[in-house]
Amino acid sequence: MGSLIQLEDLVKLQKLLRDESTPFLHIVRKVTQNFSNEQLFSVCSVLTIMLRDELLTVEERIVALFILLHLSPLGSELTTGEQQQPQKQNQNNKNSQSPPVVLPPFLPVLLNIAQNNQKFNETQFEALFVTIGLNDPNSDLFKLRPNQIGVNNIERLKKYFPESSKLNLQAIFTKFSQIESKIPLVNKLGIGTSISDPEKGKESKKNVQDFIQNQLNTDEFKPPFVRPSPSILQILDNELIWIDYEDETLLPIWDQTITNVKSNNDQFKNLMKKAFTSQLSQLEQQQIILRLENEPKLLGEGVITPNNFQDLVEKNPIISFEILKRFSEDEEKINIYLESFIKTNVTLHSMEVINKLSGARKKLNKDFLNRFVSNCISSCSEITDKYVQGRHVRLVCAFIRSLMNNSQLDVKNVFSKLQSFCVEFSRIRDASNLFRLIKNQMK
Amino acid sequence: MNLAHQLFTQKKYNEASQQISTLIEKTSGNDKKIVKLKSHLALCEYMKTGRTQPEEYLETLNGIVKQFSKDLTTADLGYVIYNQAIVNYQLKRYQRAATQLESLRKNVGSLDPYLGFEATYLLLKLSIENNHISQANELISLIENQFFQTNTKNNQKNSGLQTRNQNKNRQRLLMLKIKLSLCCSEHNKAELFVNQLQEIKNRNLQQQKENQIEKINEKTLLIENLSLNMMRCKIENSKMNLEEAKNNLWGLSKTMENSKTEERNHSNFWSSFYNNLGCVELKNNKPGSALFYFKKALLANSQICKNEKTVNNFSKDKRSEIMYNTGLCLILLEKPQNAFQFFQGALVCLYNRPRVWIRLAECCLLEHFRLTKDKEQVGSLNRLVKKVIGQGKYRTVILQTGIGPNDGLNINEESVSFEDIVSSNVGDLQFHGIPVQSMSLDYASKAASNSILISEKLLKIINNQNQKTSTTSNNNKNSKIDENNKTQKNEFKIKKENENGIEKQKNKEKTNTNHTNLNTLKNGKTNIDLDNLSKNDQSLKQDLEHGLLLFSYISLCCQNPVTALSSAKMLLNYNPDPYREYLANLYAAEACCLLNNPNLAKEYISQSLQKRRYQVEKLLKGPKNLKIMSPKEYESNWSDCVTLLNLAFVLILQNDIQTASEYIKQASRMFPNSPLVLLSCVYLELSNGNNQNALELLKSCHAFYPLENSQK
Repeated sequence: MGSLIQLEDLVKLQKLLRDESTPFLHIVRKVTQNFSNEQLFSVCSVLTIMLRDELLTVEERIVALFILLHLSPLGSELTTGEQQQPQKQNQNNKNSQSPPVVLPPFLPVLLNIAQNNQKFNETQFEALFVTIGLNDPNSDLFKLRPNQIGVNNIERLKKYFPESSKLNLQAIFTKFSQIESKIPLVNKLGIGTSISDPEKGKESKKNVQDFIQNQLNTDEFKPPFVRPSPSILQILDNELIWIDYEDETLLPIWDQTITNVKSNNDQFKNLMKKAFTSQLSQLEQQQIILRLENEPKLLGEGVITPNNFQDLVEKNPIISFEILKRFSEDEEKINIYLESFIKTNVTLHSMEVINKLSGARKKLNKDFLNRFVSNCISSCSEITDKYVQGRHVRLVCAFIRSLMNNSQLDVKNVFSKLQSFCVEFSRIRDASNLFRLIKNQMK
Repeated sequence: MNLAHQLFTQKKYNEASQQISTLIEKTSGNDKKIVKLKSHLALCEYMKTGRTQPEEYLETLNGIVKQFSKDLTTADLGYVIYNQAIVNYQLKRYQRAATQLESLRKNVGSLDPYLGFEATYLLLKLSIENNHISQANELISLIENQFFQTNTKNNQKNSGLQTRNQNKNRQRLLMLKIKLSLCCSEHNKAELFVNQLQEIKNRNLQQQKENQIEKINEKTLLIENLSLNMMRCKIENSKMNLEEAKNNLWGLSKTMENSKTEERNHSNFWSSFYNNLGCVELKNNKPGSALFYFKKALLANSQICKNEKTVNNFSKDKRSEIMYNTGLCLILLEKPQNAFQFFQGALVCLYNRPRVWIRLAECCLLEHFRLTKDKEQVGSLNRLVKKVIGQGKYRTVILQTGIGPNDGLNINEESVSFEDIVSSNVGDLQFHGIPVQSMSLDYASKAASNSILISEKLLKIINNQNQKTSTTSNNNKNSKIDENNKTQKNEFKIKKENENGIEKQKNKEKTNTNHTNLNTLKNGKTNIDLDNLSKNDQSLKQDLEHGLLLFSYISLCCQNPVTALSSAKMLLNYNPDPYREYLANLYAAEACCLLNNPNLAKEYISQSLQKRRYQVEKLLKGPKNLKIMSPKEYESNWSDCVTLLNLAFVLILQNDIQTASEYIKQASRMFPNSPLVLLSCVYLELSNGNNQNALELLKSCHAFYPLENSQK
């Protein structure tokens, strides 16, 4: 932190403090003439430090105190008598939003001196001087020159002490304690940085200017709060950037896809034709589904017919389900396609498609469902291999249960067939479970 | 259209442009066709300039997207968006490119398979370059599932990509897999991929020989790249010692010198060669030698910049990467000021890596420490006494103030002139366009806060992806069951359970979508789950924690206790390692003291007490060989002493001088000559009015005798 005052300004200030032949009020005027408004705070700070560290002669102290008194005037709120207090309080109650009282920053120094009259005679004199000043900054006392007062001549000073004091010290202290409570504790920790260390031997007067140059700053001596610094993050192995020698040149691409609608439709048709003969990749399936979503009219292009639909069911059940879902608006059309399920053998994929459809659609054709379930049941008996039959029966049971859960199947219509199916395959646990379920529903 | 394409492939761009312009005039109504023609015209114009005007090309493409985005789907505009992304990628605008590619990835099912692969491939490349490991893994599985079908003979015949292309793409994918494995420090895996690739290459070369096709250039380049990767794997796996690696690198360079590759490729090779050699040297703990090679790499790289200013050359310019390595080198050589400049250079392209910002903040802090230490050295023995003035009964001792961790680097940034931005000297090299800011605590704080924001954002993305992956893995499991049709039991039940699972997950995602921003620093709360991070993402977590720690420390240095406290609190919420927890508690405690809350400060210090043992261990392991940091910070017991002194400080604040003095006595038994301990002792004596005792203490440790001598 830099010094509070330049050396040349300090010399100027010291000269003013030593001027005993000019009346007090004129000295203050000279101070305001010699220093700008911005500099006055520093001037007052310097005077405070000089007073605190006893760097001034007794005469100089009086002048310094007077400068402080004049540059830190008390507001009218704090110089009123006690009698005016209740009135003031009432006003405050009426208007609780009244602006806060602003206290001059150097007032505590003056108040300390005004209170302190025990230690030395000089300070008693100073206390009286400050009290007079706080009461009436324009007192006749200050029309005198410093050498006219006579330092330590308390009796002379007492003549200027007003009979009735306007000063309300109590109010000032209360205000200060309120302000002080808001100051962070850490800021209150600071203590002065100079320690008197007298020694025997040659005595040399303090070089005030040297002292001030080194000492006049707002820093204070405080205990440390130790703050260990964070360490540097260790350089990890993969933090070093290894550069691959790349020869790959990425360029913008020329769109070679065929864009006209006719060709796109051809592409769709080709893909659909492929779907009848082989299982499509996940990507191709997605492509078809997306095209169907965007252009449902493609279904009417004649690629899909009820005759070849079962091929699609066997190769790509997901796509056949998507197609049936789109037909579901048209009752007549969907029935034609569902009919193709009755005409062909029941397979795992056909059951899967019907099951998905039963989950997605509100109500399937009852007649169709009864016939399909009957087909499912009879398909079980047609299988000769016991292992395959058992697996197929379990699948049929799961399928029927799912239909019942989706409230698609009315058990009453196929009860007798279901009952005989369950009895026939009662050795398979799924069938006996299904039988119990049917019986419960019938109740 | 076919004619235009033929002209384009024959590099007759003018003729192609004319052809397309005629087609545009004739076409009306069909938006898709117009988009295609316009984008082709733009591409021809771009290629006509030798790819030197990417901005104009981008502007045209942006115009096309803007005009047709209402009527056409993303899939319809796929090629335009991809071309935008590729130019942005080459201009190193990675974030922008990633956003564009992400939109294509979402619609990959409806894209032309060729475009779908290229878009996903480029996004994968970007993810690896930006260290988004989880995303990269996800993309690899997407590519493998969607574009490389090997299930049935039929599929192979009819798959979207032709087998010829598939082979090439498989090789490209393998290269990226190697890169990713190296990023994740899975060196064995990387070696395996390298071997696979080597086999493919050998097979191809054999075929080429058989077919009498000589592609020497391509051959050499591929071998170089493979050898480099092979070597890196071996180094990382400790199968090859570093000296051997160096010899191999030199061997490679000789092959390169003798090869028939084009001249322009040479500087590209040399810059990567010297950079990698520097990396080997740095790993070998030879930062001086590494610096030498990095500088050579930068010189070789500057040749690329001198060549024609095409987008391609720009993308091959690896200045930022080499500069980052150089910066690391300079940190180890304790030259934070130079390192700072290099890291600033690295920022140009690596600005979205939190570690670069951390290194920048660390450079400022190292300089800050250096200045603080310098100031201490100016008055080495009069650490506590500033001056003794007067003689005899006027003799006065003036105590030193204002020396501490706050008193180093300037807080405020200095303004940088335009000339500095346009051209700057980094070390011995002159670069253009690198913004060189001045070092300051303010800059350090900004850098730390950037590292926090970026790492937080990346962790959030990872978090979301992890959640999505867990959902899709559930999905896949169950859909496989569906497809197999073998496990027919409970077939229909499973589907329902699956749907429930997705709904639950969606709800979870909804609750996690709140954005974390600097506001979180204000309240010190976090909403990122850092417990389930993979090993690879742990370094990101470390970046976040370290960023917060730096931010808290710098905030205290800048006398900003509010942000210091909130960032320390945020760090503590992330359950950091004991070392960071210890420091965060101390920083929080100091901030609490400054904020007038000694009770809370005491709580934080008592928490730090529990961690101090670990801290010492960690500090002893800490940053290697950096003399800038005070050696005392690595001594054991120092953390105990720190905690005691800080507790004493809080007790003094609470006016419990007696207990405070006991703590200080304990601390002084541990470190009797520490200026900090002495400072506390002197303060206690002075505040008790025992000036004589204070002076005795100062005299006993010869705190101001050198001053007196100099006066005499």
